[in-house]
Amino acid sequence: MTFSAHPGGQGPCLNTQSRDSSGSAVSRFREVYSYRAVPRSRTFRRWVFPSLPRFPRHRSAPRATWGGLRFGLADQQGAEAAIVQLMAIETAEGVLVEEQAAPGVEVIVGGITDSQFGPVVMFGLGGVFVELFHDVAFAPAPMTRDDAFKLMPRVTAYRLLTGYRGKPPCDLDSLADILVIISELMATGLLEEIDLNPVTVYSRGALILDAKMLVAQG
Amino acid sequence: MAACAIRGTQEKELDQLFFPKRVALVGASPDEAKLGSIVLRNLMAMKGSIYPVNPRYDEILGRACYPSASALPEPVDLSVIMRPAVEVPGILAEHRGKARFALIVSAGFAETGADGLQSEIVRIAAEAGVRLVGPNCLGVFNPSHRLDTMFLPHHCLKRPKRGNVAVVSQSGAMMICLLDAVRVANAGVSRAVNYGNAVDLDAPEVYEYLADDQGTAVVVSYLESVGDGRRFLEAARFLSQRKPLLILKAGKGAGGSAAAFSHTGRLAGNYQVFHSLLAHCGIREVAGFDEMMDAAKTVSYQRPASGTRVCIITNGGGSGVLAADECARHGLQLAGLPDDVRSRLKDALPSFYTVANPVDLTGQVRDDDYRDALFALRDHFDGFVVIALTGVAGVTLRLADHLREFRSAVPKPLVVHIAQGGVAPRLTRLLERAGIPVYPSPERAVRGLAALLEGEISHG
Repeated sequence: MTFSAHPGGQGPCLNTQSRDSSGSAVSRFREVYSYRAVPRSRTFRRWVFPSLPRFPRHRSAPRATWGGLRFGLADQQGAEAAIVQLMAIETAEGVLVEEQAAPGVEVIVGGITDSQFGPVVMFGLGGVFVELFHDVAFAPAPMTRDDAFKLMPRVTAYRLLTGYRGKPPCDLDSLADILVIISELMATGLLEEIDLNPVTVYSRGALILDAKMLVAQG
Repeated sequence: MAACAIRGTQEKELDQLFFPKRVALVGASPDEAKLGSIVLRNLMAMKGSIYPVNPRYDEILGRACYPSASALPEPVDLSVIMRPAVEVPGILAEHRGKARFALIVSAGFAETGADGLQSEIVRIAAEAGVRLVGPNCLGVFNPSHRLDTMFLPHHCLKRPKRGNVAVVSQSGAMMICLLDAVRVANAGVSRAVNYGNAVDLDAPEVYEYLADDQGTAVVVSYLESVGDGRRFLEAARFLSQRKPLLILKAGKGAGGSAAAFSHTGRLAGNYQVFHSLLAHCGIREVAGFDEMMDAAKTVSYQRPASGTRVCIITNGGGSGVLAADECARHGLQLAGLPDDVRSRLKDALPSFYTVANPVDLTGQVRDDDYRDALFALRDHFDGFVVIALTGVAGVTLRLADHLREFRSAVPKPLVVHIAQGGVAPRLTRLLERAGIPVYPSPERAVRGLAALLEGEISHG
C-alpha cells in the first residue's frame, strides 16, 4: 500500500495505487490547487459523479463543523460552483474532489503507538460519532487475520456488519485485510497515529474514504 | 527439600525468593518499637537460618549479629533491607557474592521523585550480581515456608492461613487488604508478593512462576501500571491458560489525550487500551475489589467447571429474582426444569411451592426440601445457587449436612447466599469449612458462581 502525504504533512490521503496493490480500495479523488482560477472543464472529464468536494484536512476541527464540505454534487457545473465557494474560504489551500461513495456500514480502523503496549490497532463504529459512542476495541500490532476476526466481534457495531435487520452481511474479508495492513504499518514504527475513518464496508469490498496519520519523529 | 516437595521437581530462580533457606535482615533491631525488630521476629518463625545485620550489635534476640552484609558467614538466598533510602546504595554494594535477592523495604525512591537514587541502586545491584525486589515494598509472604517479610506486627494484622490463593500486588497497602480479605473469606494464601517500584522483579516473572506453582490454584493481582506491556500480556496469558488469574487495575480514569491528533489517539486512554488488550488476549479483568474477592473465593474453594445452565433454589422470592438478574448479567442461563423432573418434584413438595427456575421453597421451607430439590435436579444443571434466608423456623443447621452431602455426591459448582441472622453465622462457618462458599447477597453469590463457570481453563 502506498501513501502520499499532503503537503504540510497534515492531510490525506491514501494513494489510489492501494487499489491495485492491496485489493482494498480508497475512493477516487483529484486535488485542485488554485486560489483564483476556476478549474478548466477538461479537469473534470474523467471524474465520476456524484462527487464530494472538500478541503484537505488542514485545520484541527472536523471539516463538517466549519463548512468545508460539499456532497451530493450531480454534475460538473455543481462541482465547479462548489469549488469556487470552497476556494473563497480564508486559508483555503486547495480542494479535494472525491468520488462520493455509496452508503454502507461505516467503521473506523486506527492505530496508535501506546506508551506501555507499543503499536496497537483500534477498530470500531466509524463516522462522525466515533467519539460519542466509544464503541471501539484494541489489539496488539502486528496481527494475523485470525486476530482481526477476533477483534471485530468485540464491538457492538459488529452486528451491523453481519446483516443487521435484513441488510446483507458485509465483506469481512476485505475489512480484515485493512486491519492486518494497518497493524503491519503500525508495527513498522513509522507512525505515531493513524485514522482510517470512515472505512465503508459493503457486501463486496470496503472503501477507505478518509485517512489521516501522524508520522513518527526521528 | 521442602520447596521441591511442594513445588514439583524443577528448582526455579524465584524459589530462592519464596522458599529461601538463608535470610539476612539488614537493619535488624532488638528494639520492639522498631520495624527492624518486628520483621526479625516474623522471620525467626521461618524454617532456615536468619542472619541479623546491624553494626551496633553483636547479638540480637540470641542470634549472632553481623556488622554488614559482606561479613555474613555464608551467602544468603534473600536479604531484606530496612535502612533509609540514602544508605541503600552502599548496603547493596556490600552484597556482592552474598545474596541472590535483595528485598528493599525502604521507601524514598522514584515514588517520591528520587529517580537518580533509584537508577543508582539498579546499577549497583547489576554490578553486584544481586536481583532486586522493590524498593518501597512489603516483600513476600509464604505461609507454607513460614516466610513473612511484612513489617506489620501479628497483633495488628492477623495473617491468613495457608491455602491456594496467590496475591500479587504492586501496592503494599493493597496486598495487606487482599490478604485480609482472603482470611475473611475463610480461604488461604499460597504465596504473596508486593513488588513496589518494580525495578527488577515485576508481575510478569511472578505470573510465570505461579503458573507452575502447584500450591497455587488462583492468582489475584492488583496493578496500577505495567512496565513492558507486551511482556505483561505474554506472561498474563501464559498464567491464564493454566489457572484463573484475576486482575484488578486501578487508575481507570484517565481517558485518551483530548489534544491527540486522531480519533484513535483521543479514544486510546491508558486504561482503555489496557482493558481492551486484556480482553483480546483472554485475560480476565475484574471491575473492583469486591468482585475480585468474590471470584477468588469460589475459585479457591471449588474447581472451575464449564457450562452456563444455572439453577437457583431459594426460600425467598425476591432474593431468587435478584440472583436471576445477576445471572443474566453474566450470561448464565436459568434453564427450565425438564417436565418429568418437574412433575416428580411437584408431587414431592407442598403445592404452594413454585417448581420452576428459581425453585421457590417459600417461607414454609424445611431443610429437607433443599436436599430433595438439589438431588432431583443434579444432572440437569451446570451450577447451583442455594439461597437460605434463616429468619424462618424451617432453616436449621441441618441444612449444612444436606449441602455437604450434595457437594460430595455432585462435584458441580455450588454457592450459597445466607442472610437474616439467627443461625446464619454458624451455618456459614459449617458450609465454608465444607468447601461451600457463602455470600451475604444473592448477586455476590452469583458472581462467585460465574467466576467458576467462566473459569475453566481451555488449553489450546
